[in-house]
Amino acid sequence: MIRKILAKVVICIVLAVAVVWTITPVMWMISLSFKTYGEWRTPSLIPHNPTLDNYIMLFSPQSITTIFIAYTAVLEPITRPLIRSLIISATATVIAIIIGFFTAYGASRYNSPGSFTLFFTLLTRMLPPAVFVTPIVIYFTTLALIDNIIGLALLYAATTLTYAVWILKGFIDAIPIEWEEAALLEGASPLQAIFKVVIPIVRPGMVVAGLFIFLMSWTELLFALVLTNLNVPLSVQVSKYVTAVGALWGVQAAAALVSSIIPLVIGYLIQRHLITGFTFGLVRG
Amino acid sequence: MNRQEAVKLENVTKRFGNVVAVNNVSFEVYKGELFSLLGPSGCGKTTTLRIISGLERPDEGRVYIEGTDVTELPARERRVCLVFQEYAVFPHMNVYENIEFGLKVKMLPRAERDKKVKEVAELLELVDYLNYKGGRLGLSDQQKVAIARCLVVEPKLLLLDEPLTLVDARVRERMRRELKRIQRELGTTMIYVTHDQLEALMLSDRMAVMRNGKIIQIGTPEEIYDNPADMFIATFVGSPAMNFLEGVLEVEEGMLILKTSSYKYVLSKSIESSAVQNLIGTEVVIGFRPEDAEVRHSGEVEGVIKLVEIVEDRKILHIKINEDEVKVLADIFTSFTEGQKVKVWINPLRLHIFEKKNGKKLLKGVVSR
Ligand SMILES: Nc1ncnc2c1ncn2[C@@H]1O[C@H](COP(=O)(O)OP(=O)(O)OP(=O)(O)O)[C@@H](O)[C@H]1O
Ligand SMILES: [Mg+2]
Repeated sequence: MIRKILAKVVICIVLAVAVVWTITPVMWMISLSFKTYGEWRTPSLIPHNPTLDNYIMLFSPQSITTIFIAYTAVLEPITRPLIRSLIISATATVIAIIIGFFTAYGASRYNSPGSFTLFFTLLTRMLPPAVFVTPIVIYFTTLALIDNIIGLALLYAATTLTYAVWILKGFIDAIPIEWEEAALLEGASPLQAIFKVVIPIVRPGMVVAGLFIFLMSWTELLFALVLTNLNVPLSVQVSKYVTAVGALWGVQAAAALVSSIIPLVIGYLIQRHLITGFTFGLVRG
Repeated sequence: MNRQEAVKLENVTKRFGNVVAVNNVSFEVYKGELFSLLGPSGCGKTTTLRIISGLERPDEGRVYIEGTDVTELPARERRVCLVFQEYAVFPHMNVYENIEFGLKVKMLPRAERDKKVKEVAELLELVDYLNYKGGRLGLSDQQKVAIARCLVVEPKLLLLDEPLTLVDARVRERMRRELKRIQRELGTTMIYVTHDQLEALMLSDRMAVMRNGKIIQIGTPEEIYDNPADMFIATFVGSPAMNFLEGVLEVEEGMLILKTSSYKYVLSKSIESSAVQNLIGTEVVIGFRPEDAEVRHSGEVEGVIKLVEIVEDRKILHIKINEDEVKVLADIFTSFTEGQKVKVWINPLRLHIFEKKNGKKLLKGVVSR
């Protein structure tokens, strides 16, 4: 009895610590985004004079006449990087999932392109990304893809493809081949078997892999910094508010908050799929 | 007889690496027949079905469906449907959608699809379940859905791979009867794979017994039961299994005798058939089914009852005869006790004589009627 209670207490404490650990920075970010310039460096959680200035600065820097005016020339409204990031991340996700699915299907059903190649694609993700910066810059310069959002989308699709393959392969492996064979015997073509049987069943896996890839593309900074100049994505834009010239902490917090809204909304919309996806709860009916 | 061939296999062989899963198999199944493939685990039953359905390509031999060589034809064009042992239904569709699948991929108009789905659902008593998700059904209902899915596309041939093995024993018997009813009603040609001899005997019009990738006997259930081609089939088919006594056939004072290592047993008072005479002096195994022997007050062989078992409506007596132990059936009302001394009589008409060397059947019955 006492043991049980003790166990519960310990679990509660652990959970509480975990919650505080994850929530605090977010709370701090929210609080900071509503603070006035003078308050940015004070350690209070509640803003004394809550203001929307930071958000105005984000969305229409031209209308600002206050102390930030010196920066406005270099900053575009955040909506543009936001839209760019949406396009980049969505494109990268769609490409990686489509190619990833068919690669995973081949790997699962026909053992192609061979387990070594498959493992090798994962290996490239084990090196620090900085290793690839120079060759990528050279490729992108040659292909005239510098400062081009499609270039970034392709790069992200390529670098996240291996995750799509590995996640989806796990899901496809769990689907008994008999289901596809049954479809064939009832007159379906191999493609129909894939589209009507395999894809609906692995959809939760696609959602999980998709969200994962979307988030990776959404938050990627290194390549975005190196490969863009004017057409910056959101992650680069967020970093721009704190520069050598000056540090707009409050504005950056607001930007960070705005940039986390999209993943949050997506996560909320697909949460039903996420649960099935994460628990692989599809086959064992 | 002038029966139409539904499917014919001609010297079909299939290897997986070093394993010969199917070894030079030939047989044919006629239209409207319920044909069983019976054999122990790993003997190549599933592989044979997969070859017929086109999911597997044979290394050698040809497959004909209704007289046409389909060896090179892809599975989806053969109009052969297979009910798998497991994983029968699509979990992401409800029962209606499951049954509709084969019609939908053929792009039949909606009204026609609906009519056919309902017909089949009616036949299999699935009407109440049409809205259930596939994964939520019990195993026996899942198999029903799988059968329905096959029937709805009106295949030339319906293959069933141990469809009832995972189903509860009590439900299994009912499903078996239902399956046979449907088969009779629709006249669908079916090949039924099972490792359960009772199931094969109950269901089949004809059956084949397989072992190690080979077919060793084909016949009606009665033929297989009454006249097994070798000791393996004799043991495998029928329960309780056939009794065996090893020895040499000899003639003594005009009587046919089996001489075992420790005693002599008179098989018959006279030697009429010349077939028997040819066997004198050979090492043989005598087989007889428990129902073909009787415990009597007088008889040729003495034994001691070791165990009395009651199975359903009869008794199985385990009787020790010198070194050997045999099982004999008795009426449930008889009063035998363990330790009792009895005499055993074996019906000479229903004796099986196998060659000791290779287990092949030599003769059935040592006297003529
Ligand atoms: N895809 C495969 N790859 C390698 N070996 C296989 C394959 N399929 C079957 N085999 C082998 O071929 C032999 C026959 O297998 P099969 O599945 O046809 O037997 P079965 O009679 O259906 O057995 P069970 O009663 O266990 O289902 C077995 O030894 C099996 O291990
Ligand atoms: Mg099998």
